[in-house]
Amino acid sequence: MISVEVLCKHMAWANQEIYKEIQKLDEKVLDYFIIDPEWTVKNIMIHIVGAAHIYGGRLNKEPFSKFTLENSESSEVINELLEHLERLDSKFIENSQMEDEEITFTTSKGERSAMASTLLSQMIFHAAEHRAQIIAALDKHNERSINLDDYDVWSYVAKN
Amino acid sequence: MISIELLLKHMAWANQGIYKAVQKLDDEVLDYYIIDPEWHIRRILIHTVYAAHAYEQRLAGVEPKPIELKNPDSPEVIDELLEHLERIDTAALKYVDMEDRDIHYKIDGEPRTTKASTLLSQMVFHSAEHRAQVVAALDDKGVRDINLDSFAVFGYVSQQ
Repeated sequence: MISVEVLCKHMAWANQEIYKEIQKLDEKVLDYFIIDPEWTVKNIMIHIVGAAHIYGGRLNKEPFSKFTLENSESSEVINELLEHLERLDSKFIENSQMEDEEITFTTSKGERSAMASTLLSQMIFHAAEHRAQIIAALDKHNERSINLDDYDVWSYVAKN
Repeated sequence: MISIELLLKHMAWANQGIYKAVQKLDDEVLDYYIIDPEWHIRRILIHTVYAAHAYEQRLAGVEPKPIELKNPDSPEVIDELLEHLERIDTAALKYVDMEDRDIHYKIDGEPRTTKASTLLSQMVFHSAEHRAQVVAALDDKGVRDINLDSFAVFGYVSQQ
């Protein structure tokens, strides 16, 4: 069977690489957005990690814990996010080897359940989609230093 | 192991959903782009299908034969692309249960070898990334009819 292992490993790599590339840019890029001022580059970066924290907690049957950051208003937040991503994405790679099963978890709306495959697939898809949105917001402001083609699955495999 | 099957099924569903949603908009949106006029929406829609076709042909072990579109410059192209996507995305599901193995093929006469898992993973990732770019280009011009959140893996699973 072809598993999601390559996609999990690619996600971990692409998250680290793209967040580090953004860190090299002028801090003002964190406030760039495409159309909705709520969805700045910084908010999307935080959202990817916050969602990973929730999905990861559910997949690993951990009790609910709120995702908090010490420096959410400053550019230092990227260091924090990188640390969280490393921890969370390592676990997702381990999760790719688990047997699929129904997982029950508690949300603000009560008890819910989802297959492990759904949670992990959503995680992979969610991060890929939002990384593309980040680069689109940079592109819109003519910040072209990050080329998404350098962070595709081919590039990951070639470098690992 | 968690199979890539759900992500392939989601890809097929999201491709059809988003291409059809773009088709409902004014024809002029096909010329929208974020920063690079070469990468307008119509071109991204076509590129996604061309690439998916090439990946699937490699998995099938056949000599890649490029897709020839009858209406590449008109809005009618979306009907053609939808047909190709249905064929390609359905075919991709055939490879889910195979053991991972080396796939040999040629690009411009040069021999290449890639794992089947890499090809399928790239296929999933590539289409997700470009769908996000299409919607970003629409958002940038204030066309907010397509909400990417409606095309998440959770959305796919809840509709099955």
